[in-house]
Amino acid sequence: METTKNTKRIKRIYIIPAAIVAVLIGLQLFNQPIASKPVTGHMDEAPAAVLAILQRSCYNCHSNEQKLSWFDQLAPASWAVKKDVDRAREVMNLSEWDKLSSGERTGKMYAILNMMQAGKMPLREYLLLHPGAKVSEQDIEVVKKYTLSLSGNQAPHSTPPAAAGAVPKAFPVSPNGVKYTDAFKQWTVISMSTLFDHSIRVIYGNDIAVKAVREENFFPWPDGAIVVKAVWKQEEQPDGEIRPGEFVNAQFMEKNAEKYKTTEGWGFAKFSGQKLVPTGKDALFAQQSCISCHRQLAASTGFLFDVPMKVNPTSLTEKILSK
Amino acid sequence: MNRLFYLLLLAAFFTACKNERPANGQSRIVFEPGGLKFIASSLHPKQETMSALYGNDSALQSLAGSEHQTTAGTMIKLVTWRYHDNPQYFGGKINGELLSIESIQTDSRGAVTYHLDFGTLQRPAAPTARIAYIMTYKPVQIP
Repeated sequence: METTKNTKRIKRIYIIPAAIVAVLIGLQLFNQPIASKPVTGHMDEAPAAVLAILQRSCYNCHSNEQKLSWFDQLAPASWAVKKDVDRAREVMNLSEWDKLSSGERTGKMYAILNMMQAGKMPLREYLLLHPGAKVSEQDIEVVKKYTLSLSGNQAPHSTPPAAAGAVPKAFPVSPNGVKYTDAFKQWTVISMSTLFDHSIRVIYGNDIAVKAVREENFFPWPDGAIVVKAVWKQEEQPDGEIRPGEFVNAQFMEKNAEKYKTTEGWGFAKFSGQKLVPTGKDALFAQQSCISCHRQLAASTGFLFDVPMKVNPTSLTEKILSK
Repeated sequence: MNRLFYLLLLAAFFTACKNERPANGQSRIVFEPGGLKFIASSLHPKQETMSALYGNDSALQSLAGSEHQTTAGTMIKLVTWRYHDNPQYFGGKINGELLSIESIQTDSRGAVTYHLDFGTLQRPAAPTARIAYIMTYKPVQIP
């Protein structure tokens, strides 16, 4: 009697792990490998120390040269890995670096540096299983030094202005449906900024956006909010003061949670040069080049950079508003 | 394998987003220019300040012309802020503390008056010098 009971118990002990193993083996049938893509060009211009850091910490997702561990290749973990690699390649591919202009490369280096400094990259869940990919303070300093040496170059946000010409009669529309409007010239200025690419910027908001900033209604921003960042080249005066010079582009962010689901509810658009040429071959451009930085670095303000800093006494706000 | 799942679960928990620290009694100011419109801006690297210039239609006309003379009915405000490294993006600067609000007005006979509405100037100057300075701004160009 005792023996039969024990055998039953042993059987029960084994049946659960056996079932788990069976399910896992079954899952492998649905394992899709990561698409193999050719290497077209590396970041040959960067110092070896910078390349070593990128190869160790970024290449496993942001390249066509994955060196995955066995556990990365087992379903269901492999599904998450594939999703991450696909998204990472879309945003920045270090095996296709030659496809970027020098300005875009500078912009990507700033993005890399910002992601590392903010502790957003490599992803925390990735580091748990790949501790060797962790970037140290020293690594960040190496990347920072190199990035700062590039800032004489143009940045991606400052697409070279299109040849001078008449302003189009009908306003352009971005591939994702965001329409240009010149109404923003009458809107309230939310903030002013500059970037490493020697540009000077003014950020305008419509009434919904201004109200959202004042009330810090960022989680989520209300639908209908539109923020426009106008970008100019810096023009230095003899005394060192800088004024906006040639118009570079106008960058739109329009909130519509339903319409722009894949980009945190924000519709991104950029209209460059005198002809206001929209950026992007198709609607995917915002997923590939805009939202990744906004999502990782500007989550605390509802995915918007250049929201006014919270540094003025509240009493001052009331005083200014009552004037 | 189970440990792997727990690790993934733990990782998902840690990826929850982090919000900015609450600042007591501090606010995000959006300057309300009343009926005036934004016309121009400037950056002063030596003083680490940024300014925005607002004005009415007469101001826009005055500054758009080559003469840069105040016409009757001109109303201009120059709002100056301290700038900082952008806390969300290394490589950028953004306006922070409000430092001063200056205004100039021209009456129907063309007489110009200057007033410091708020704060203090980073570099004190005579009203006539400030009027001359403010009148050097040109409207920003947007297609």
